Amino acid sequence: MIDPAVVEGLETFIRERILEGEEIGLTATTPLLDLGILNSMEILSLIAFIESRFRVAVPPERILADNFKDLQTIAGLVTSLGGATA
Amino acid sequence: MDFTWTEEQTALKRAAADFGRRELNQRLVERDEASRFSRDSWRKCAEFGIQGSFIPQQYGGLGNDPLTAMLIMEGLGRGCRDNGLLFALNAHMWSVEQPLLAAGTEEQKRRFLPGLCSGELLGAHGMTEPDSGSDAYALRTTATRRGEGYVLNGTKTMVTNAPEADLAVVFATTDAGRGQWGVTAFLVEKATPGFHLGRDQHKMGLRTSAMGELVLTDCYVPEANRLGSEGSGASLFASAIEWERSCILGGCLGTMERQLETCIAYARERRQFGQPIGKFQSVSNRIADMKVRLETARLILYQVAWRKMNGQSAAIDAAIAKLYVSESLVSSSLDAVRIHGGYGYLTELEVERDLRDAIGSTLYSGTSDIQRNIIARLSGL
Repeated sequence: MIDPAVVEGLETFIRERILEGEEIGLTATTPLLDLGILNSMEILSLIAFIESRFRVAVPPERILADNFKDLQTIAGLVTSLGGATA
Repeated sequence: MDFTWTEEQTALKRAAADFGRRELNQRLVERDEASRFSRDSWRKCAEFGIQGSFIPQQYGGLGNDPLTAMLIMEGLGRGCRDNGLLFALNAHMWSVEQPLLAAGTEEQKRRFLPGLCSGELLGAHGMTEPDSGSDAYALRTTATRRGEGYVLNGTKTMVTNAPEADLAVVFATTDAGRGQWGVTAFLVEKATPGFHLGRDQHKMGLRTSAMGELVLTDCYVPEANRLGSEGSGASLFASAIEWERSCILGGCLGTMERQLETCIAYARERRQFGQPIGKFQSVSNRIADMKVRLETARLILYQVAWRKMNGQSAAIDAAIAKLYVSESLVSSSLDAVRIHGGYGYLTELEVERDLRDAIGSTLYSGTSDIQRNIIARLSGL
């Protein structure tokens, strides 16, 4: 079960820090990799955010395309790692 | 955070410094001039346990934790003046052994790690290409599925240890359209048909380490030699380079410590205008700056290694450490030349070589500019 607060936290970060306000109609299933929104530097930045905001460590073996396709899959990764929103 | 070393760790660092001083400094000026790597020194290091330092005992290593391994490298850097050898060792340990340990199958670990620890095998890490350096994932080397394996084609350049390598971790794209997500790592053995050594590449410094090209022409690699899953190469590379940035600098700390000792001794002994030159503030200030850089660099680096050892992410810390330690090494190496005056410029005193070697540290494992980009990005810019 994916916590909606995780999706919301990720969405806010991507809107503000990666898209920097550019409106692309971001939804939970927008293909972030196919649209080139997450490049290698943005991935670093996103992982640092995830680790600090949700207090989890993202192990290298989980940094795969399948886990970063869209907001929903990233939230699924955070949840599976035991990320906390409180 | 506790950086108190145990007696055993301190003894290991001291033993590494003594070993380096006693065994690894022979004919160094001559070898540097000839850009000659010493396989003999490599074997001695393996016998001492350097290459197997952090590898678990069941794979032929000593089983130290990474922080202890970094401390041993710091000790080695203090005693061993052969910075090229230290560079070659670090490339082998953190860019070949570490990813193999982290992502290798049990069969791969049992097959390769004992030889990498014993000195029988020497490892290289092929990532950089003629058209992809700082933009590391813009690879042109391809890996195309064929039967039970892959056919690799492409050229890797500026590969540390390449001319001497028995085994290379080679990164290739299995899906060029997917950028970093198509990057996959392979273990390629020296005797593999289609795997050739290209030209040797000569350098400004670190000349006693070998560097060159790796050329892959229809090189068939079985699936059993794929390191990690398809598409996991970028995260494997990023993790390896984070380790490298954290640990490769241990030797640099040792070098800075040695430089400081040498400069203090020289400033006490060398007399001008009727007194030791260390009595002149322009000299003593330089030495004070060198000391501050060393101690600051040490704290930054220990913190990164401590975070890595405790399973914490250290991307920004590793970038800060890489930037600060390497730039400090260049500044202190230049100060060392200035303190020695004209003699520091002469090859025979072995002061100028440290400066030439130090420049490399601001370029390898991500340039200082790239570290600044990472720090800025992760700081929210």
